Amino acid sequence: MSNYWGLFETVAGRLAIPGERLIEVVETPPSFQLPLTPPGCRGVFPFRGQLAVALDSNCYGGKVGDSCGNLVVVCSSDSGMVGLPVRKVVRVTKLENLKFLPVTEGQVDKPDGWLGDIEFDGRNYATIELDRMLESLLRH
Amino acid sequence: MRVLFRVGNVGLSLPGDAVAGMYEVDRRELLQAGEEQPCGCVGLLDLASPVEVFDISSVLRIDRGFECSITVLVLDDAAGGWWGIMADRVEKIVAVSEAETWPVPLLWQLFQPVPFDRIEGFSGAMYASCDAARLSVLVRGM
Repeated sequence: MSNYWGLFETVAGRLAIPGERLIEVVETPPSFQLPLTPPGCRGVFPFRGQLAVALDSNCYGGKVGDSCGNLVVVCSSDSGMVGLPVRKVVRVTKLENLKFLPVTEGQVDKPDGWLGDIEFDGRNYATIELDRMLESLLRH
Repeated sequence: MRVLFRVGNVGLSLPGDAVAGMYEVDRRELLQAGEEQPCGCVGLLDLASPVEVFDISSVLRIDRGFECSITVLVLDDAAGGWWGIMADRVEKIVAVSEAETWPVPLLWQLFQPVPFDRIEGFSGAMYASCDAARLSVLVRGM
């Protein structure tokens, strides 16, 4: 379990990302489409001398074509840097300030890589395991 | 040299020495070869010997934006002949030294074999650097 978490609002709901994955939050950069773009990706954008993959909000429950918000959380993953679109940064906070709500039976319609929810300030944030989410893109 | 061209919203590049010629044509004027026309071939360009012209947008999963006016890039094939691909437009022919380059993102490489080996940046835009032989295999394998 990560010691600190980034909490975000997205077009598809609230999202928590483990702190060790977070690199930077930036205003949505222009992205460039490439051929054979995998499902769930919008394109690529240059970031710190490398290419980061711009993900679409449908990766974590949004609909294809949703407006994605004006911020991008750049994260590290086993597949390189990825940018997740968000609308608002709520907080980056220590685990001790959060209540982890594990997966319970009967919870459906959650995005791939979902590990359960984190409660903060009376609101639930879906925790996402990025690499599992990205793997699921390749299966679709 | 690199030839930078666009299919739909996607930027692609080819080495200059792979491109034997570029022809602006009205796609309605391409000759039709009837049943002998291979899959993906949109018609024949009437050169000294007819050149099969292919639409690469479906194999590269690009939203096509072709108008009637297109540019056909004529490429050398392995057998010493020519084949053509349809582009919305050719943007520039530039020196390689002007390029910023990046490797193809891992997510693309994991997804399926791709006919490009790097991403090139010119003047703030990005282009997938294609290999003509791999494009040919992909197109003819449809």
